[in-house]
Amino acid sequence: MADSPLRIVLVDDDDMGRRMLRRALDRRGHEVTEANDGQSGIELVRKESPDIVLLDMRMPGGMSGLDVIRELRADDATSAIPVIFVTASVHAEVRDLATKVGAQGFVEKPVDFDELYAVLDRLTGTSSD
Amino acid sequence: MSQGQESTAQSIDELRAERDHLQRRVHTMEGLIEAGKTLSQELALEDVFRIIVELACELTGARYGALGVLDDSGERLARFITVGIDDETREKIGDLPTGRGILGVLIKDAKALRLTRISDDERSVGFPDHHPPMDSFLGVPIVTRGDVKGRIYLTEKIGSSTFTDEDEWIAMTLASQAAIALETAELYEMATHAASDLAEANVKLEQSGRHKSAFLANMSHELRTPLNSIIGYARLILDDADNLNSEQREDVEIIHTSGTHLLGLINDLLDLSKIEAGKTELSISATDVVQVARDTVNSMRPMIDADAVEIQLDAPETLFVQCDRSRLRQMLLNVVGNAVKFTRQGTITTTVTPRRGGGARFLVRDTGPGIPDQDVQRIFESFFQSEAALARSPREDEGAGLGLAITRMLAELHGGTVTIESNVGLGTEVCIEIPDVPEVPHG
Repeated sequence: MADSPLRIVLVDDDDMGRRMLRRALDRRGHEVTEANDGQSGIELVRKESPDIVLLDMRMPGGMSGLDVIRELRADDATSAIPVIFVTASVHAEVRDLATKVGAQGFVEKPVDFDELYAVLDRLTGTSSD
Repeated sequence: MSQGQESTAQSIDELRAERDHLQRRVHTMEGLIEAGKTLSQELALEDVFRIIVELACELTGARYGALGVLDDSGERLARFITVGIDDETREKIGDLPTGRGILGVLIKDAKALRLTRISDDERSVGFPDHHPPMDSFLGVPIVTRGDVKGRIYLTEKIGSSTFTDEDEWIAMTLASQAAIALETAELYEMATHAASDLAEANVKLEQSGRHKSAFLANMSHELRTPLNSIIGYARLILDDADNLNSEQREDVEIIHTSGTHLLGLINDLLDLSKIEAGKTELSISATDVVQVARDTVNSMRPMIDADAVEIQLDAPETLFVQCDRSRLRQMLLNVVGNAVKFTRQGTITTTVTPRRGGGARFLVRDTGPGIPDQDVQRIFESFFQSEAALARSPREDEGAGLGLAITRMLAELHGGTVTIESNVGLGTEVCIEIPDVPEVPHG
């Protein structure tokens, strides 16, 4: 748990899954704030200017993860914030799409914590050894 | 003129007549042959019938000709093609002949009929208004498979009061041509129907294939979300294991393992449907297949009872093959995993050798219970599991019977094969052969 603590915004409509991820990230010392749909996610990112955004793909309320990232990328204030998709949509096409819209990472659900930690480490330039 | 001269003259006349007759006959034959040739071309049925009637008129010397075809009920004429009557007159005459009069009565009659004067026949009811006068008459049936399907009518033989035997023969010959054309058209229609039924069935099949894919993709998403919690929370608890006693720790481990296993099944199902739908593309690169085999074997070590089962790799230092690295790993995991699952004691050996003609050959041999012959035939079917193997599986919850089906499909995608040999009580040998796959960029 030698990570440098990150400020993370977690956007996911699945309450249980979100709570679980928050706890997994808490244990690594990261500071997590949460939103449960796309619109409030964008607002939270604007307000918090986090180090990283963890973003679900399929969400209710008319805004998908792809819509969220497009909007974040279009706004100078948020365009540089790394976004990692954490999603149960595991199609290769979805993954390609995520890369195309400028996501820095893609983690499949069910989330393998070690994989998630590794992606965070890679993005922040820290490594566990 | 002497008697002799007279008889010579007579015989010359006879000979001339005979010659003329033969010439006509040749002309007739030529006409019929020509008709056969024309009619064997692809023509609309209507055109075929018209050519037949025109020929019939020409070859028999009839002024008027018609060809009538019955409708499906066999009671009424569906088509009536006429020759010698101009359109205007035909328009004036009006409706097609029905079941009255000579034409009508003849509809159902399978015999040929020849008359010198139509109006003399007792069945005649006279001609409709505007109908040209007709005396001599020849009608022959068009018969397919024993059913009268229509008739050729010829009237008003030019230069003679009545049609001859030969005319009747010509008409019959042409009627049989018409019958063939009709039969061909019926067969063609049946074939067209069958083809369109088939096309329709294909479209439905394709649709249901798409529905299936969409359904599976959705299902996968819906199952992954709760599974995310099951596996994730179990992991959270396990990471905090200091607070658990050993039994609780074991319980949570079971939740975690089962969740992971379920995830494997979902992935297999998705994989299978993608491969079946032809949506799987290989990512080919030069791969050290020995390294892949070594990793696979090593990843299995924690799962075996080291006191009872030995797991080993027999392979050269390296062997490079043009193949899809992750798909090869998947195949080997399936096959070696099966061996691990079913072998309680003895040895599991994975042998890697170069394949003749390039590529590699993987032989996975175990000392498990073996598979009965009747099950070996079906072992590559999706969801099939050998009953004998099921009963002996040390972990009853495992496996859906997809592993080998997927393995074979993946091997075949590489242009390779998977074969299996098994002896009950001795063990099972699975052989995967993968050739070098040329790197063809998909467009």
